[in-house]
Amino acid sequence: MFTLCLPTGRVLEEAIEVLQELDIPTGRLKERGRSLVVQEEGFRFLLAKPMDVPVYVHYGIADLALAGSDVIWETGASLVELRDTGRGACRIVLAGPRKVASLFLGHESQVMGLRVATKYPRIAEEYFAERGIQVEFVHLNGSIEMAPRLGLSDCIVDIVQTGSTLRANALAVIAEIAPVSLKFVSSHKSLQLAWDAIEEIIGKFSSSKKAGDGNDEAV
Amino acid sequence: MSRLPKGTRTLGGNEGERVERCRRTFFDTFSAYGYVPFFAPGLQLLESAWDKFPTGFRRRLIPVYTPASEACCLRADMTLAAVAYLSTHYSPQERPLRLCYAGPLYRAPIPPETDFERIQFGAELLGWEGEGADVEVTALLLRSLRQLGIHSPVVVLGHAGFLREAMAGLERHIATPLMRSLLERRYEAYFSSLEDFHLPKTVRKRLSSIPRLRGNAEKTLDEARSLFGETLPLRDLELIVQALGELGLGENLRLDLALARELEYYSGPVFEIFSGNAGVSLGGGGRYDGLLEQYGIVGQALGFGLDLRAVASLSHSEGATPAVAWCGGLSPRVALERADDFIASGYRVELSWQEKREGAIQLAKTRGYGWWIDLTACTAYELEPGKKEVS
Repeated sequence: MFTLCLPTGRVLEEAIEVLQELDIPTGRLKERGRSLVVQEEGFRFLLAKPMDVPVYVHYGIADLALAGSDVIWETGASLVELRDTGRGACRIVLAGPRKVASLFLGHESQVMGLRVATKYPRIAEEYFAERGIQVEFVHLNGSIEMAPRLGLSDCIVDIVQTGSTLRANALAVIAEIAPVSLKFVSSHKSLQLAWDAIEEIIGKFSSSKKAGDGNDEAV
Repeated sequence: MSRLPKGTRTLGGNEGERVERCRRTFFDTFSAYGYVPFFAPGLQLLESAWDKFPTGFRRRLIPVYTPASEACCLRADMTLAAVAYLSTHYSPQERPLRLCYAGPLYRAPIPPETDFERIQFGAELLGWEGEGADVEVTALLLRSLRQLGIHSPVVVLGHAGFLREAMAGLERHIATPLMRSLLERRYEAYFSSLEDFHLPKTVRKRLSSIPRLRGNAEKTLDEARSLFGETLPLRDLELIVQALGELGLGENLRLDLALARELEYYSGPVFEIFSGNAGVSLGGGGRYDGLLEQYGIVGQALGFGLDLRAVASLSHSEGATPAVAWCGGLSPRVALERADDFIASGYRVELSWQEKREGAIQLAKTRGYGWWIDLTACTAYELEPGKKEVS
């Protein structure tokens, strides 16, 4: 039984589409109800919160997974990044009200001590530490965009897709931190012990991509 | 309530027993082949260790000061101590030298792991250049694991020299990100970097094949030869694969020519060991020479380290049968002599000096043992009713 971990939430539908492109059976997955573990034709699908997907891979529970590059970075899980699907594309950005954004155009002394709200404390910490900017972090689990509006923080580090939620909360992108997309990842163990199965799946993905965009490199 | 420091744990009970059994099995196997037990201090001087570790590893060191105000870190690596010891305590004429060790190592954990202390067993063989050393160490390691009831461990072999040769003609700004991607197992980033650079078609073809060169040893070697020709690293690997196959260990072997290990001092064959459900390896090692140079030694060495707790969690081997032995008023001399007989026949006895046998039986049940022994009658009884007796 080959175990595949998928993220729940908005990105699940895209993940299922990727699996369909690879001819992986998804009938039961689509009619899963409240089930979090679904089995179909030699595949076991685990449905986990996006932030937990890399953890299931790290500990060897899942052979393969589709995980966002944001949560791979944030969790720090030790895993193998096999292939970028290009799906679920968005960005991790530093955003804030225009008044705060203008501070970042000046000398770094102007932004020292700012308070940053985020659900990505590791990414945010690395981003500011690399630039030698000392800030204070507020770790939130959702609705990050409202933190500056309510005075909880000066700016935020969060993911942005279209930017409409930022605009609705009077925030602007100050800096792009990293692009985000859904990636195929595997555990170190599965890379070695289940390589044939992984290669078959990733190989199909590469072929479908090659037909689509002419990209000729893939594991 | 007594609280433990975060990231540490106490090992006791069954887990403690399993870890100790593993430690002893490794020591017995390796010391039978001339590996001398070695005990290093729990601290290492930062001034000696700092320049020998890569940046990522340095960030995980846990610094402390000694009472003499010397800047140290909790021991994070045993190889440095082993090489320093061998280079200063033995003359070149005494090589090859072998040692083995077991003890705690300390590194800041990388999430989602939380422990910063791990118990490691390792061995080092210093001063032998040929493939015999690689085969010896790998074979002893696999034998130990089999003795511990871990029957399907997989040794994944790679070669640091293969990767160096493959990148040899590349400019540094091209080779560095490629090597970093392989080291971090970010193959998607590896291919993305390849696309960023203008490379001759044949070079690109070879480089893009590297992350796929893994799996069955013979097949992978054939594929690698067809792309890279007969190279020394591939010849090294072929000899190791062949020798381990002759020892009946072929089915435990895989090749991964993209395998790169964290510490940069590796120069030849490298390996990692996988087994069970753990997503990461139980440990690994390889051949190194650069580190020896820094200690003024010409030649090569080979070493590995294994996480003893991870190995113990997979171990199925049964030790001696545990039992409570009731002394029933016997003198200590007689009780110990009779207990010795049971120990010799495969029991591990815990003496009970209680007056009544019921107390001893109850103790055996509390401990979860399957047997109790009446030393007055020289008989062992299985605790479940109606079960057998052994005299």
